Amino acid sequence: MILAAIVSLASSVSADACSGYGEPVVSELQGAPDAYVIVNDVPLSQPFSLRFTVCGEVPVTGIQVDAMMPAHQHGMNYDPSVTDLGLGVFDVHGMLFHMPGIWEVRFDITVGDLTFPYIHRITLR
Amino acid sequence: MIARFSVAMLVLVGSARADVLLSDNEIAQTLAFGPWPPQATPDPSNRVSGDTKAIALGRALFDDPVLSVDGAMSCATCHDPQTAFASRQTRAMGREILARNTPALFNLRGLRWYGWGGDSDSLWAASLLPLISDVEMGHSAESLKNAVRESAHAPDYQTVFGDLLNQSPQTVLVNIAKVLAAYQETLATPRTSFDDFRDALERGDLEDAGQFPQAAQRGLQLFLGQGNCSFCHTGPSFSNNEFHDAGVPYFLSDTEVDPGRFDGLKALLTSPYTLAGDWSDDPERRGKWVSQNVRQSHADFGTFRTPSLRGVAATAPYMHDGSIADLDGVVRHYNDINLERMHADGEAILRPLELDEQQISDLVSFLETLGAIKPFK
Ligand code: HEC
Ligand code: HEC
Repeated sequence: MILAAIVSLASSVSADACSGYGEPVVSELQGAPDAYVIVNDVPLSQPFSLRFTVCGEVPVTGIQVDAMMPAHQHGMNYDPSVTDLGLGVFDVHGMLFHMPGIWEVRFDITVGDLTFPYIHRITLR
Repeated sequence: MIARFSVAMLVLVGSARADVLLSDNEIAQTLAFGPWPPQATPDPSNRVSGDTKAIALGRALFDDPVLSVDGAMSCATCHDPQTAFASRQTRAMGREILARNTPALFNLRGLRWYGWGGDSDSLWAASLLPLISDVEMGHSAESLKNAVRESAHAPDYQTVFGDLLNQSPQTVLVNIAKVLAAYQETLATPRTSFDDFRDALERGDLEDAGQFPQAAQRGLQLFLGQGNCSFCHTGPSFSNNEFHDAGVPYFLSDTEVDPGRFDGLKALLTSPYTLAGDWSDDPERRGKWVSQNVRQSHADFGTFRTPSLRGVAATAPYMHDGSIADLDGVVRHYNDINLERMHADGEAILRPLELDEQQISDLVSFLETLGAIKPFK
């Protein structure tokens, strides 16, 4: 946890701007901007919200959020809605995990011609 | 003196711990099945929710054939208070044999979905559909308004809703559905021995918790573990209130199938009676996201709403089509589940469980602790 924070601080000049924006989220794609997610307690089978922050002054032109359970090969039964708060901060409402287990939240952000996928894992009891 | 006392306590705690079979992890999972009863909050989409006069009128109407166009049936004909507001029939008998089993009407307050296929997002909408269904009560809004006006209930209706004559038939229809809902909100399953067990675990009172029968504890362990039951039967009412394929055949006849959730969602999305619509009494339209954001998918085909397991011992027969006669049969169904028969894609949870006879009987014992309901009234 601490290690991850240090690594991302070292790897990006813009990370400072993002400190306090939650947990770092990883992208497999090289050159993906640093991003953070804030999720508080996730209730089982009830809607919840999360906040996704893209660090630095990256011009994000699109964002898509979805989640799935890799073990069961199914996703959510509801479409979440995303509000752009500006400055790279996005609020995601209407997430709903209807089963316990491992969920993967996937964020796809569009920057110019590029799409960067990020995966954030949440384990729900 | 003090020393001897604490030694005695230790021995006691030690032996009580031995009577609780659950691991710490299983105890933590068990706590999520409570507390019971849940807090009761009024339904903001129903302005008469919690209103005593509305509840009394709803109770009277529930039992009165005036709600069917020809006096042939009342709600209680199928939802019989003597049999936990369910019916012993496999599939319900209306004006013809219906596609599905009559569910019990307990703990319905504040759910996200109603009906086996989830064709309503409120209790009042779920109570309105049978009123105007051709194969159930058979009323139109107009015939219902006339019937209520001419019935002994007219004065009570006017006390709750004002002058009936000046109201449109549609308004009367929705109002009747809302008093029926107000009444049904009061139907709840009582606390059971499982709740005492769960609360004792929460208090850390292992001696008390150890009173819960060992067979039921072993059954609960299977429910949480090898049985995989708690993937779908979650939370205080033992249901995630979402839709799954539990491997129950969905053929109605040689040529017809019950599409389950697939049709439920189609019905919901064309219904004027949703939390997003004009008939909700909530100016904020809370809950509207449900019908606005729900996803339609081919995988909905042949899925059905996970039923609550509270009071399940009293509501045989089981499953959406009433095809399984008793709880032993349900557990055997999951134990020997036929994966070839699964119709929805992707539900990669169910598989044959390989439980032996002792384990099957333990799992049934556990389900029985969730309550048998005494006849109401
Ligand atoms: C002919 C038998 C029959 C009659 C009469 C009947 N019901 Fe039902 N009821 C059913 C069946 C079958 C279902 C399941 C329907 C489905 O899911 O498609 C059901 C479902 C329901 C549900 C949803 C329960 C849940 O768990 O989601 C409610 C609420 C309900 N009925 C209320 C009523 C009321 C109120 C009346 C009278 C106006 C009534 N019913 C009359 C058979 C009947
Ligand atoms: C994949 C989700 C899922 C899992 C796992 C699951 N169930 Fe179910 N359960 C359902 C659904 C959905 C139904 C209704 C199916 C139908 O009618 O077609 C159901 C129905 C039932 C019923 C009948 C209730 C009634 O009122 O008709 C019982 C009892 C039950 N399940 C117990 C269990 C037990 C015990 C286990 C573990 C061995 C289990 N379930 C595992 C989803 C699940």
